[in-house]
Parts: sequence; structure tokens; C-alpha cells
Amino acid sequence: MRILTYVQVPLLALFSVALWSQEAPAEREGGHTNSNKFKQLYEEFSTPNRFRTASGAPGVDYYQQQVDYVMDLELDDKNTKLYGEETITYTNNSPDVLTYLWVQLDQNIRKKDAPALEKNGSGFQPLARASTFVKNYMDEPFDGGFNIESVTSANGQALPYRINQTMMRIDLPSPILPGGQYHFSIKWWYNVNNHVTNRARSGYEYFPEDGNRAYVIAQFFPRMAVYNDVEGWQNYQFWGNGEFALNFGNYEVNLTVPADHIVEATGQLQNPKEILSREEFKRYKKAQNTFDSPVIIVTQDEAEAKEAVFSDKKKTWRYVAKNVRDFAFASSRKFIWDMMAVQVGPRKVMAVSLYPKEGNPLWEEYSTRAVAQSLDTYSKYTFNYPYPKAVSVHAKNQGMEYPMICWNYGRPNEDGTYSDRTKFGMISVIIHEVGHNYFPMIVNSDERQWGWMDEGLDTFMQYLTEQQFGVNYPEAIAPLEAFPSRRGAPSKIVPYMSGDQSFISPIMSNPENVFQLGPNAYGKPATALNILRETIMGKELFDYAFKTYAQRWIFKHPTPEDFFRTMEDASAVDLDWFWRGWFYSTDYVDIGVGSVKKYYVSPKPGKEVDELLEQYNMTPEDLPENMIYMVAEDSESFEPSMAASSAIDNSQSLRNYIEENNAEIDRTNTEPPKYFYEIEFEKPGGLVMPLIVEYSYADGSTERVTYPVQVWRKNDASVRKVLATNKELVGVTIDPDEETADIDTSNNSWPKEEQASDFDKFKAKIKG
Amino acid sequence: MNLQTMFKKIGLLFIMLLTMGFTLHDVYISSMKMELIPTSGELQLTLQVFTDDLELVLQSQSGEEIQLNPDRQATNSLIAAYLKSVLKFSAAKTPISLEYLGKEYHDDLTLIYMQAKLADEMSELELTHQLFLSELPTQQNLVHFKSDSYRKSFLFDARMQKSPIRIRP
Ligand SMILES: [Zn+2]
Repeated sequence: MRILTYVQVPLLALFSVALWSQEAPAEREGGHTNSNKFKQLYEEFSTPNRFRTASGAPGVDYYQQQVDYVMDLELDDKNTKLYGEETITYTNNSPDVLTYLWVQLDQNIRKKDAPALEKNGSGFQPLARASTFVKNYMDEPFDGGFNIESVTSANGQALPYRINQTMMRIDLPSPILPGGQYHFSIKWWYNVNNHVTNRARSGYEYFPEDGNRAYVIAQFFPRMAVYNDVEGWQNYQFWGNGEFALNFGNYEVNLTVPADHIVEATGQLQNPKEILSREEFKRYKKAQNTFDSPVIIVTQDEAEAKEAVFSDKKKTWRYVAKNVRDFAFASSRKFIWDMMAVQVGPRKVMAVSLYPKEGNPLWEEYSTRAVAQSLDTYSKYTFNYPYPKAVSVHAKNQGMEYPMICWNYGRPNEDGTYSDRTKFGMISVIIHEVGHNYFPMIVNSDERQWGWMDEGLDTFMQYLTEQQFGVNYPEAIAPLEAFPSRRGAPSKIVPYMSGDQSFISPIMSNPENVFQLGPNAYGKPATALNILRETIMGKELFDYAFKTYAQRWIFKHPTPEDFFRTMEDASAVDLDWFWRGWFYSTDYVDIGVGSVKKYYVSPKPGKEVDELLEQYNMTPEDLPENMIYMVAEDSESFEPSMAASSAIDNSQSLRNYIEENNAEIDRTNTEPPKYFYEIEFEKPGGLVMPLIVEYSYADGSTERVTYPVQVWRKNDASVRKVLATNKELVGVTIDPDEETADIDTSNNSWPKEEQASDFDKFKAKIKG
Repeated sequence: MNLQTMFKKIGLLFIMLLTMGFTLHDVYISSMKMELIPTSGELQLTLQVFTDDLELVLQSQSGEEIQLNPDRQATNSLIAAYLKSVLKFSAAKTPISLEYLGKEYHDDLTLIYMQAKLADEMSELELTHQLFLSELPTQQNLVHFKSDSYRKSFLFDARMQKSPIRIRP
């Protein structure tokens, strides 16, 4: 059967080549540049060098700066102020001489006159809520931003500095040479904002019933900007959307808070015995070796008892963190505290949760377990979690990530009941934020430039972890059979990718400049990676390459190209077309079935062959020997007898050929196909994708064929394929499992199925 | 809309999108599919919103604790009344009445189905779209219009609350 298939393919090729050449020469066209969807990415990618190689790995001269911090902090709960004094040790590992340093002052985005407040256009509404009106036109704006008290060198000399919005340049008395080190100190304070009313990443939540606050504090200290081989000094200000670019370093932090507060922070707590009550310390020790369920260190009753008493005393919590890119902490007397040990490869890691009673009963049930699941799944696909703990802190309505600690939403109703939506949202966000430890806390991409490098990769991993959580905790998702992941499945990105092009940006855009950051930086890249893994590369090749990327860039600073290159380098799959389409453009997938034509072997040349011959002044006798003639069912030359008898009966040439080559043809395989089809596939969408086709036959059987994406190389709009078979074809379906995010499935089948619209389905449903 | 009641309700939700991280759902956005069936003159509307946005707004509008998906109380009439106040169609200055059909939940989204009957000769509508604007000032409302192969999209927000929509090319 295969052999005969090959016999007739060249014949059809002859047809199409002949038909092609017969077209009258058009008017001479101008030239063009390469706009092929498979064009290599040499123009988009930077040239590989000794810092970053063509393979996507760090090069022999790869370097990164080291920044170590020693900080004394004090949280003034009564006046909602935070005070700090920090000593920075900056190590210049670059080959360059540095004459100044840039420090990031992210809190300055809350200054009264911050340009970020005016970054969007504004307009009048004919109708406004009084609270909005007062806020916009009558309220004093919040008096935020850093108050820098001093910037001094190691010997106490004041250093000249210049603040430009959210960045501060420090002019050095003498340059820092390659390999050199510089120590200096900054003293500062600022007013802490309410993160609930201001929708901020950092601040406090105020609880009017008991007058308490729960603090989640981050990007709160002057942090060194990144200097590297691709940006020089980072110079993109903090405007709010683009998050952070940060250096690795070691931290020693002494954090003074009211004595009745419970604290969690980046790093290993150094003085638990001194800081905790005897009972708390006993539980804390016990938790270190409890692997099956969380141990409660501070119970809800104990936390509630403290709510009415506001201690005037202070305590200092001491933390040490190695090789982290940032430091954050949470503090409140309202906090309930639980933790459990998790085995991650050879290492024991503490999964920890911190929440006010307002989070219960949901938080004690699921938070620490979701943390543990994240550590397990992410480690499997990347590297073993290298830090001693991962903490999930309940903040009312935000999710945000820092090394070893993150804030997560998911609050039950006041009576303690909660919907599935709240529960799944909470588990999802915990998985997502804990997952950010891998991207970008450890695989330290530049969030200020590229939101997708951490959000997209993290959302992709979040999907795998959520699905695994559903497998491990079936009772948590019952009666559902799988965790209801909001992002990751191809169909979920269709509404975005099929939307109005004027509100869509390529993934390769700065996060400040996109219309819909959620789908742009989270959903679409996550879906793209999912499709790469499931449909294009296969799990084995993908997982190996993805892990290679994570391990190559662990504790380093990758760029987008480092990711793209590694995925290709480690898999031997050329993906330039995929990155070009999915990451550099706003093209979408839409592939459909055009026409299906049926052909028969005919005893004599059909009308089409005659016409062709006539055009070249040839007769059938001029053709080479042993030609086989095919006639389409809709051709004038078609006769029902052709369909009634077999290809062998219809063609003397075929009989001759089989006779002559008898010895070479395995007789058992020479049953000739009864049916010949030419199927035309159309591609209205700009993205090229493998052509996944299911053929259905009259006997009820189906056959799945995947044509490689390369079928679109030479014709981006349509491609034809021949199917020779013994069974009558009754149906063709493209992408039957909906794995390509095809935005219009109404053209995905032949014969065309009239699908009722979702609207009509809903109407029918409510009528019935 | 009763202004008195509206102004009385003190919302918890003044939202400055200064920050991102991973907020409830990253952006405040709705989208509405709007299809004109030329043969019947039926205008089919499918409005897609985030369920937590809708919940928040209904709470603020009614001053009651509202829970959606699963609904704790009957919410259809509340939603229908709210939509009537923020989604207004007219043709030649004459209001066109919208029929609320119902809603469905899909994960964290609510799909709301509505329809209207349009006269044959109509070629242009005017849509005033103020969904969630008084509670969520950064709300963006997308509208995708379709009739046979003719398609057009619109973005409504605080600055752009009203727009003509050509329904026949
Ligand atoms: Zn994130």
C-alpha cells in the first residue's frame, strides 16, 4: 500500500508543477525581504559573546555583581513608620571601572509628586462616587517615599548623591576597580502606607474591629541597582508595573518590632530561643522534624488574646540570608503561625504559613500544604529548592513574591464560610507566589524589562503544580476531577489571542507598555510553553531543555535569548519559528480544512491531462511509459466504472509495472488503495503550527496524523496533502483535542459542521 | 439610578493600579461579544466579567453581602437592574430595551447573556458602557461586534463611555 502511494504522488506533483508553469507571466514585481515565518532570529537576538554564549549558557567571562547588606530596622507600629540603617558592601566583579553607583528607591513611587502618579491619561466622568471625588480632588495625597537622612562612606564621610525619581546616584570619591569592593551606609525612614486602600505590594492592612495592623513589608530599603553586560547600569525607573531587577548577596538583618508581634522574613531566624516563649519554642523545634502535617506554633486563641493588648516593649528578630536577591518581612500581633518540614531532594525545607484569624479556617487547612506541593513539583522540573524555608503570608487582596516569603490572598467570609472560588484562588496564588522563588528569585531574570520571563515561566509551572495538587488532594477539589486551573490550557488563551489587535502586544514587550498585562505576561507565555511541551517538543525533550535552562541560570541573571537559545540547544529542535510567532508577534492560530477532492485511477488520460498536453503541443504518445492517470470525481472525464473497479483493473500501466517489478514488490503489500483524496488545509491565522489531523472513515475507524510544522515553509496560506486509503473518508478534523489554541474552530472540520453558537446553546438551555 | 443611595455607599474599592505582583486578576477588564443576526434582527450579547468584580460591585450597589458562584441569594434581578443602569443602547436617540436572559459561571468568570431586537433599517447604534466604572475607575470594557463577516472592536473606559457602533457596513 505504501509503495503504491509513492507511485501516484509524483504524478500529482507533475500536475501541480505543470499547472503552475502554465500561468501567464504577471507584471514584473518588485523584490522583497525575508518575511518567512521560519526566518532565523539572528536579527532579533543579540550577538553571542564571551559573557553569553550562542548555546544560551553563561559564557567564560560571565560575571555578576555581589551586594551584601547589614541592616538594622525598626517598625514603629503606633506611628506606622519604618526606620532603617543599612551598610552595603558592593563587590565589582565586572571588568569595568565604576565611577558612580545607582541605588533603587522604590518607595519614592509613593511620593506626593511621583511622576508615576501621572503616568496614565485621565478624564472626567459625568458621575463619580463621592469617595472617589474626595480622593481625587480634596484629599491630601499620601506622604510616602524615602526620607534619606544620610549617605556615608565607611569612615563616616558624607557622600554626594543625586536622586532622580526612584533612583539615586552616589558619586564615589574614587572609582571602584574591577574586583574592587566598596562599603557605604544609608540611613532612612518612611511612612508606611495602607496596602489595602492603596492596592500596593507593601504596607499594612488595618483591622478596625481591634485596631491592629498586619504588616507585609517589601521593596522597603534602598537597594543596589543591577550593573551587567546587557544593560550597563539599569536605568528603567520604577513606574509600577515592571517589577524588579536585583543583585544576589548575603543579608544580616536585625528587625525590631513590638514585643508581642510575630515575624516572618527572608532568611534563617538566628535567635528563636531568645525571641519565642518557651511553649512556642518547643513547638518550633517539634515542627522542624514533623513531615506529615503542619505544627501550630502560635494558635488562633493565643493570637486573639494578644489583639487587645498593645505591648510597649520591643523585641529584635535576627535573620541571616545567604545568596538572596532581596529581603522582605511580615509582622503583626494578630498572626497565627504554623509550619511543617518537607523533604526536597537531600534537603529539609520548612513550609511555613502566617495568617490573622480572618484567614481561618481556610488557611490552617491549605496554606502550608500548598507551599509543600509547590516545593515538590517545582523542584522536580528545575532544581532542588536551595533555601531553608518558604513562607506564605496571608494579605487581604494581593499576591506578591520575595525570596523565601510571599503574600497571598484568599479570605473567607466573616462567618468563616468560603466559596470554592476563594479556596481555589487561594491555593493557586500560593503555588504561584511560592513558585516565584524559582523564577525570578533564583533564576534571576530582569523583571523591570521582561515581565514574562518570571510570570510566564512561573504560571506555566503553576499549572503543572496545580494539576499535581489535585492528584495529591482529591478531597480538596471534589467533586471536580482536576484542579480548575485558570491559565495554561490552550483554550483559555483564545479569547485574548482572538481579541482586537489594537489591544494586544507581543510577549516581548516591556510590562509598562502593554494593554492587558495578565494575558500578555502570564497567560500567553504559560500557554505557549504548555503547547511546546505537550504538542511540539514532547514532554521528554521539553523537560530536559527546561531543566537545563533552570540549572544553567540558577543564581544568575538570564536574558530572553538565554532562554530561547537553551531550549533549542538542549533539544535539537529549531524553535526560531515558534519564538518568532508566539513571543515576537501577536499572530494567532487559525487552521482549517478547505476542500477535499476524491481521485480515481483511470484507464485513459482525463480531460485535464489532455489540456495540459495540448498546451505543450504533445500527445499521449509523447508521455513516458507506464504513466498512471488520475481523474477527480468532479471532472468531466470521470466515469462511474472507475469507482466500481480497482486501481489495478483500471490501469494497464500499473499492471505492467507490478509484473515487471514482481521480485521487488512484496506481494502482500500490493493491495492498491481504493480511495485517493487530496485535502487542502487553509491557514487564515498568522501562526504556523504542526498540522494535527484526524481522518474518520466509513467503517467507524479514525486515524491521527501530525504533519510537521514545516509544511507551511513555502506557502503560508494553504497546503495540500494526499491520502491514499482502502477506506472511504467521511470526515476530517483539525486539532481534535484542541491543543493548539486555534481561535476559530468553525473551519476545523469537513464536512463542515454547523455549530450552534454558545449564545444559542445558552438560550436553548434556559428554555429547556 | 438613585444617586442618593449610590453616594451613601462607601466603597472599600478605590483602586489605583499602581501595582501588579499578582493581584486578584491582574487587570480590570470585561469583554462583550455582540452579534447581530441579520436574518432575524436579533442582537445577541454575551458579557464576560470577572466574578469577583461583579460581586464587589453588586455589594456596593445594594449595600448587602452578596456571594456569587454559588449564589447565596437570588441575584438575577439585581444583576439585570444593574446592567440596565450601565449598559444603554439607543438608535436615533430612542432607547432600545435589553432583555436579560441569564448567567453562567466559568471558572473565575461570569458570562451574562442578553438580547435585543433591532429594526431592519437600523444601521447605527449608540452604546453607553459604564460597567463597573463608578467602583473601579481603571476598568476597561471591550466590545467585539460581529455581523456575518463584518467585525469591529471598541474600548470603553472612564474617558470613553459612549460611542456610536456601526452595525451594517
Ligand atoms: Zn507572579
